[in-house]
Amino acid sequence: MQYEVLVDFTRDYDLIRQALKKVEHFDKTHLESMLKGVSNILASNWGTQNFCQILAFTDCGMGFGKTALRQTIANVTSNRHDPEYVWLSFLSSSRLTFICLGNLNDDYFALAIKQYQQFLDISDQKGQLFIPAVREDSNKADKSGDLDYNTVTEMVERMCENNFKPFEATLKCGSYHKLECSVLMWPPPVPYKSKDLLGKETIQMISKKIDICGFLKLSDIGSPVSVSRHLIVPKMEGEKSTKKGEKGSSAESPASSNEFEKLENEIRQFYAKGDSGNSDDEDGKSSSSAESNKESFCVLLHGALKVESMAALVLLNDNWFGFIHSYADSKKKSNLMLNILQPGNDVIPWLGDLRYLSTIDDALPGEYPSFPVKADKRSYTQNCVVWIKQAGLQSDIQKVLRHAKKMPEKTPHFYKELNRIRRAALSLGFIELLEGLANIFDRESTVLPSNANPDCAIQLKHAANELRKITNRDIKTLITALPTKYNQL
Amino acid sequence: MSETNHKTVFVLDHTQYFGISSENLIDLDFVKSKVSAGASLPPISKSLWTSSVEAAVEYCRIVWDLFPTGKLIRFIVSDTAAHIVNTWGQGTQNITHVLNAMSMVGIPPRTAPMTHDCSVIHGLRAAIEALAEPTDAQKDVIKRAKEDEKALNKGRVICITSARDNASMSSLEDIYQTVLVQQNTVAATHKDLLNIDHCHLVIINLVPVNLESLVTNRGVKEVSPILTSEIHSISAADISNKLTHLILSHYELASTTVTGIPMKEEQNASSSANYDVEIFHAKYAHTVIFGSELILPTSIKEGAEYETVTLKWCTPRGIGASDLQPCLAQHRITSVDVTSRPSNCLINFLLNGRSVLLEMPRKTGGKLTSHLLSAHGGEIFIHTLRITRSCLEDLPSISEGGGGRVTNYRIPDFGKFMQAHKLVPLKAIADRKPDENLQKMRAKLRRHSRYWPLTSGTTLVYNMRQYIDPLLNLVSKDDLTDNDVLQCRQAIFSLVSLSTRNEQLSLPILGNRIKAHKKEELYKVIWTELEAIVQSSGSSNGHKLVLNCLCDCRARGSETAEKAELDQAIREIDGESSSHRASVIRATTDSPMSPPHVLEPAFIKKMKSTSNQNTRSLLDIMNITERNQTQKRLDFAGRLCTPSGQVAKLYPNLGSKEVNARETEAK
Repeated sequence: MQYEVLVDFTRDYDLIRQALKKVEHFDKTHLESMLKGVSNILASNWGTQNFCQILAFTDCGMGFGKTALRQTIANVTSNRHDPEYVWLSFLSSSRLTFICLGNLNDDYFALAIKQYQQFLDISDQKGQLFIPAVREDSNKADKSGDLDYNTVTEMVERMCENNFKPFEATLKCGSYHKLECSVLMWPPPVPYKSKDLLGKETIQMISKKIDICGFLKLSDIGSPVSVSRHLIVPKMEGEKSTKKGEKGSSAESPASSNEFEKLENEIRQFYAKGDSGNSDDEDGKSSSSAESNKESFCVLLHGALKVESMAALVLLNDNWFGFIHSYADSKKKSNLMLNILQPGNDVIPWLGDLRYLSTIDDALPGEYPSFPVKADKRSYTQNCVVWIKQAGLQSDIQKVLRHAKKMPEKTPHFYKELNRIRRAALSLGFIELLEGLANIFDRESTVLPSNANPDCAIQLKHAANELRKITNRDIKTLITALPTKYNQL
Repeated sequence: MSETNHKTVFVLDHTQYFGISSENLIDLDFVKSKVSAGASLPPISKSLWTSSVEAAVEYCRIVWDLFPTGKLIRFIVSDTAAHIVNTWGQGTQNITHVLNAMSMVGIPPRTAPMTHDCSVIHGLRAAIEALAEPTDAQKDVIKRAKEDEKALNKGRVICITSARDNASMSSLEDIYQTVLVQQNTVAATHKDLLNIDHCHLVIINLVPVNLESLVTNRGVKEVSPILTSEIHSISAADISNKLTHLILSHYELASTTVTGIPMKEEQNASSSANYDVEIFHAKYAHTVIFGSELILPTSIKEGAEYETVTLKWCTPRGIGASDLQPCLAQHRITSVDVTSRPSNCLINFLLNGRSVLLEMPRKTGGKLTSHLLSAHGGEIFIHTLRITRSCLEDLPSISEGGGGRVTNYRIPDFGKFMQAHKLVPLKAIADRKPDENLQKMRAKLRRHSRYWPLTSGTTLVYNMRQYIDPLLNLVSKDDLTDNDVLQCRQAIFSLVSLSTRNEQLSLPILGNRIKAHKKEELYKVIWTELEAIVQSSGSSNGHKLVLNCLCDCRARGSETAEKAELDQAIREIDGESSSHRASVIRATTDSPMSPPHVLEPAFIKKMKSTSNQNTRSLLDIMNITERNQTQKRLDFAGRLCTPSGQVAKLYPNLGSKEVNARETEAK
């Protein structure tokens, strides 16, 4: 047995705790098979669009013989692009972290760490090793470097700070200071790699300032391709002050907004007085409770987007856009979601160049802009001629004959179809068809049903003659109906 | 721009040999109806020329349907010389242009020309010259590239010809290689020409159906570092199949067959049968799932050499279910058999605005919807949906987070704000500059949101639109017309008269009637907020006029501040507030015959209905004037407090209270 899944993906801590108690100890580390297994599990559960993290708690065993880490490193170095190592490229899009549990004074462990780092380097992983911190201030007994609870806790904290830092940004709409909100994005966006026209790789990251540019109907947007999706939650001001001890929010608001803030407070107090008589000490209370139940632009935006079935187009960085919309999975819970589009201003064909979006009042007189932006006609909307299969040709001929039998009512249709076939035949150099069609017309004119209009025979013969004329081999000339007493041309 | 498929040249052999029949007979007797027994007709056959043109054009149809830009194809026809059918210019990169030009080219000459120099070599030479010409996109890259940067110039030449045997085929390759090297030497001294970094030569050796070819197939061979070539020897009946097969690898395309499309029978509309439609699209639409296609169900169509992914049609649900789905990839599609009835049916269904979900069987049983077909702006796309789990499952509701418990957000108002800033696609015309990063649009949003309280608990004016409209709608405009200003002033005056009378406002948010002493404060706050709104909405002349009017109205109230004390005294003597007195008067003087009160519910209703519209009709304006006149009846309230002979003061308490309020703020 090379690895064992103790708990499937879960958010149930108890389940994990119970499972960890059952961990059995073995004597051999086989890193490669573990990583291969992990890569399979991640790929089949989460696909390629989710950023995955792999945390390996290990004593950094180096293994033995064929399955030793040294051997894996050698194999990967020489056969990196073999299909056998496809799992490595999947791992490269995730983050592989080793929590190295051991004593740095132990030579074996020190060597192992080097080998693990070497593995990360040669296999092109974004990973990192976390090793026990050396404590300077500790007494002699601790200098042994043995692991204890504190050392491990410290390592894990370091790792969390490094790997699981939430992405903070400011979401803003217009200029009013309340229409701006500190938000957390989850999962944190990852840098976007792309190649430019010259094949040079560029790495871009979305800005910490997300600015709303306008709004669109969801039905106009459809389901465009997105780079990633992120939950947006308003950041609680409390989180900030307890964690980092930064200044409160009031200090951040610019002076210009103070006037408005005062006005809002005045109104709030007015309402508060209305609710609870008119005593001055109530005022103090109401303003403090307003602080705890602080309004958030995110919630307002979400509510309005949901009611109107719209999404907000946001600017994420220079020439990079996204959509914020109200998202609900099968349950009733709905929330604010950001769809990050591919960088660029021309990423969704039916929305056109995003740089030409504006409100209707910017349209010129006589210009009636609306979605979707119409594309040039494609072959499937053009009634094109394809005769690769005989059925295609036969159905075109049948169509023209159907019209032929209903002349003179269908005379214009007959000639329209006839000219369509003739034009295609001339383009393809298929002059054999012109003769063939003439033959068909000749024969059809002789076997018309007795109730057929005499014009049918006349027009069919006329068309057959016209098809045979060498002078009619120009694509620009059209075969026209012969004026008869039946069609009053 | 540095992909091989950016530039493709078709070289079509137009020599005498290509005028011969492909011997792929087409029966014309299929039209013979049961009753008609006319003489049977001789079958016809396409020439080799027709076969090669239609196959090449079909190749273009697929490419240009899937890649409207960036994948360029040129045609060169070769007989005694090379005839260039189109250029790299986008204007000539379409089927109509190519077909029209082909009709000018016409069929190959029936008789051998006088010169013996009639061959496909002219065309190949011209094709190499064409590859050396930069396309618009390449010119653009060269312009932008820094000194040490260089975009690779690669291309593909597909030559449809006919050679006697392997030896002559191999000499053709040799000539090609020589010309290629020569061309690069020429390009080195010509600044308008590009060096050809790599060329992929695909030679199709075409023979009539009844003949055995002496040329053998040969896979890709590296002739030189700048040339790879392959040879396909095929009968005329199979050329389209061959090119459709090659196109998959040339453009990294994949095939999907939509199965089980329910369709009414052509002859019998009451019964329906299930059909399959095969489509082509970029391969990434498949590979993006899991990074490999292994799990998608595949099959091989009869007569085809490639695999197609079979996905089941899923009868569409309501419209809207398909918006902003988690989409991993989106690519244009085209149908393989574009003129067939099932294909037409599917295409038209989609073009009419319906979306179709496609299902694949799940490993563990059940089904997964893996793809979505939908049309946008006359083009059809395949969207690859996410089928794996996402870390965004079981998310908390927004109401559980910060600000989630606040219930009085101005959601309808923000909805209106969004509708007012709904984006539309303007045309990219010459004198309209692109709005980089939508700067102008964001500036507009900023201009329109200088004051925007989030909740109904932090605004008064926005909760009493019925009393102040259309002012709020009008001042949110960038510019005000004279009529707009007039309407705003009227709205202000009507508020003044309400305020003078200390009229009870029906504000749902206040619930029960507010206490009498709060009414004055109410009006004070309303005026302050209204001033803030008007001041922050714009700085046009119109806005200034409205603001002046507003300030005048407030100021006229405070001018009389010194008189306020007297007022107060009088009121104390009376022992009644003026508003109370007014209602007493009303109660005692009104008879059933009295005209309706100013703010009788029916009238308010009427006002509300008119205030919803941005524009006011003449009738509305007359109504307002009429209302103002009827209000005069109640001016008694103010005058009652004034000793006879003196002019009645407007809102005597406004100024004094404001002073008080300022003092408390200062504290």
